[in-house]
Amino acid sequence: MKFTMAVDRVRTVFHCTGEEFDGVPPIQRFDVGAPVKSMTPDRTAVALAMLFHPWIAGTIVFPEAISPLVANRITQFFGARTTLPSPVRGGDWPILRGARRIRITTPETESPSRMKEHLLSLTSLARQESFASAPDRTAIPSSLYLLRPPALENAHQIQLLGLGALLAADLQGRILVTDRAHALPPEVSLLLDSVGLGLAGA
Amino acid sequence: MTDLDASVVIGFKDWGTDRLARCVSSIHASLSGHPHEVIVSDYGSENAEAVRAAAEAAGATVIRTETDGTWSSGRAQNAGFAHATGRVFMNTDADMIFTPHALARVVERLSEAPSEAIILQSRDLPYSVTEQDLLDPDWQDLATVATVRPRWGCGGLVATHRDTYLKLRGYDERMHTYGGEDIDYLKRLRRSGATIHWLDEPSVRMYHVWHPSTSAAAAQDPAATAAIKRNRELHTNDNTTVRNVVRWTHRHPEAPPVVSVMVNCEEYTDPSDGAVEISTLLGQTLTDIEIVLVGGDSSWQRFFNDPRVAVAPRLDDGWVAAIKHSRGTFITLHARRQLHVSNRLERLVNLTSTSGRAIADSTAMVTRSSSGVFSPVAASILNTFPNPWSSVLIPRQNALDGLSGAQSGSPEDLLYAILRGGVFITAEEALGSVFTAPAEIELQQDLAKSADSRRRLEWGGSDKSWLDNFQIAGHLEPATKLAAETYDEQYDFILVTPSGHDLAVEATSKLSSGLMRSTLVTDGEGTELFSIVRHSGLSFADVSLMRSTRESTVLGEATARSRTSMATVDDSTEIDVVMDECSRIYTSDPTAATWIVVSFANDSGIAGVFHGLERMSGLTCVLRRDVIDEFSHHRLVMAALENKSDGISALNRVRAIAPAGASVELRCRPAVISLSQLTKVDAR
Repeated sequence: MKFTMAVDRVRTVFHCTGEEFDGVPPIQRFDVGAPVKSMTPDRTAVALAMLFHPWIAGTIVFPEAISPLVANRITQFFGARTTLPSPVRGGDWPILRGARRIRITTPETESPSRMKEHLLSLTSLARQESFASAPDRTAIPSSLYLLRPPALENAHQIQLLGLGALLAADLQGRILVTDRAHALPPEVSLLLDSVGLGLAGA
Repeated sequence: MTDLDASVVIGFKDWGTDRLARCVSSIHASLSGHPHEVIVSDYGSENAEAVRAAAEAAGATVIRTETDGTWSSGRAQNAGFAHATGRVFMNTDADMIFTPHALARVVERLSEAPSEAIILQSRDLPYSVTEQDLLDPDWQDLATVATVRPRWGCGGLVATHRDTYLKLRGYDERMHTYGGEDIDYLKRLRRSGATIHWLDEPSVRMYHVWHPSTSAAAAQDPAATAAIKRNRELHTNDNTTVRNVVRWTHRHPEAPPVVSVMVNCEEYTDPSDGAVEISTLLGQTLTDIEIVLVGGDSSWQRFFNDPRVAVAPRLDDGWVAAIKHSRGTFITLHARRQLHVSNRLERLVNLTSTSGRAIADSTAMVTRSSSGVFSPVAASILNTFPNPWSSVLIPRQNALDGLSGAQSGSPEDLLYAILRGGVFITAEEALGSVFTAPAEIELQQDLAKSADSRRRLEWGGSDKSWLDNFQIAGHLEPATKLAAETYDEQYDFILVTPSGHDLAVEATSKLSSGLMRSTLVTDGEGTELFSIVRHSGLSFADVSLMRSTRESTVLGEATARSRTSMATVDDSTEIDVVMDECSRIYTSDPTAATWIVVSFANDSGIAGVFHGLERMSGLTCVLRRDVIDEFSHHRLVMAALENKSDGISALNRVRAIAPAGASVELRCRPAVISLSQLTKVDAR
């Protein structure tokens, strides 16, 4: 699957194009109603792999070159399904640093914020056109509601974490918190770890 | 569905029973520990009995299809899968063998990732590997001498979750002879969202046993070459995902309908109020549809008396519950006063492609004066349209996901949510449906509501060309004609009533239009069993009356428009109806019942054939029936076959005892009590 990316003043948009063994996702354009400012190629690649993982098989071409470690973790994340991330470039790579615990919620799992946690509410572009921020919470709309894999709860959790990974740096996040962290395979933690993010249960 | 983990289908025709038995045994060993079934789909082998014996001895079930000699891998696979009950559907060829537990691993992988399509890379064994070597294979040796094939096509095995197969409606049955159907199926799997997973683990191996090349043989035959070319054109040019939509010979009984049309019953005072509009759905050329009457109850179902009509809970919380209740691969929402052109759904489905793409057609607004005259509403007045959502055919999953992100469960918000989220809507410019507005005040209200919908869609930044093309000036005149025709449409009906001949005639004596032909069916000794009443040219009002006739079964209904592509109903229609009634009464599975029907010119020889059939093995019941009307008198002896695959041999045995002048026929057709019944009668 091949990805391209565009960021403007109000939104961040990714496009994907399927290759020979990829499934066609329900939408080929993924729209985030906020301009994501603090992105690195590695974080973007991890986010895209997690968002589109139900439909990826074979080669993956990310918008920019990624580190060998992240490429390797992405391959591990896909397990038995053969994938080859590219382009890959050696050298020193920055890892974005944050301090906050970012608790990921959706309108269906909405809960009050807790002490020392920042609430990231992932909403729908059909309900909310742009992002909204408060000291303890941020609501960011996207088209994720149309990118749901059929009947696989873990797969959707991984997508939510992928979107969280994309937005974490702008929110000074270091640890992503989700109710279902315990149910996810260890490859998810390893993948997030490769870009300096931790995973914790609520 | 049963508790089986897997169903494996082998499409087969005259490729050697030793080879077949070896493949079946290999599959059993490879799936050891997982409950499964192996189905050999014998698609016209010359020696059916030998194939059956070899396959059953190896532990397979045999499904036999009689053919005209033409091979079609896709149809053979579908014929096998039509009887499959496992959770995972796999198909392979008779020249494959599998390492122990290889297929078990495929089943386990599909439990972990049910949306994948699993393919195994084939490894070719050389000519030097003998039958003896394969009796008790040394897998390490085979791995050493085998040559890996490139990853193209289906390798030799494709496995998916059963729901994936059912949603795609199997292999494309237009393809035949050789090649193309596997590539086509893979393309469609991808379009449906499935990833193609070439499962590659050291313990998972599939070997192809050497034999002379069939593709080389096909290349020598001009007819085969032409068929291969056509198959290639189909999979290159047809971008749809769902196939066999109008005709699926080997339909799986649990396959979902192609389209669910959602109708909000609260918009109507009673069933008769919505009957004209819903009849334009029941008369669609695409018959495998479901009409979901949201908020309707059993009185609505009785009124329409068609198994395709379902009811769903009221719209208390928008359309979410109703769409969850539906089963179609696509959904469309019907709007009040919408009339559907008879081939509308077929055309829309034929324009679909991948998930994430919806299709819309154009519509026109027509008013009806108090004197019943129809006239178009000019496009310039209607730069907008009352219910844009009603013109769109949406993949059901997109609709459910769209509603999960929508502001509310209203159809306007559903449309906005899918557009805003990135689903493409492609406009089909041909006329698809007509809206009639009976009164000016109501029209004004519709326009005000419509302008609001349009503002929202524009605000969402959708592709406005779809909205702008909604009304096409050139369509107004034909739209007016369609509206008038629909209201003045004449209907044909076939009705079975168990109440006897006189009562049947009486039940229809109040009708003010049309021609009636009534046929009495007796048991051959004068006892009346039921009547078949065939009506043509009924007005809509009379159709409503007919539908409400108690204790009767509407077998077929067609309008003049939907009938245009069909042949005329002929005299044997009644015999088919009799056969279907008997299938429903006397056989355990009416959808698969097969009958030998002997028709006599006079009474001579009837008793002899009847008693001869009673003594014959392989028959579940023998019946005597007379089918009588003022034009003809058919004297029938009918016998239901225990096993469909015995049809040809049974036919020959009956022919041997039938007198000269009697016709002997093998009749097999599903007894579907719906409009499709008439379609099938006519298509025969």
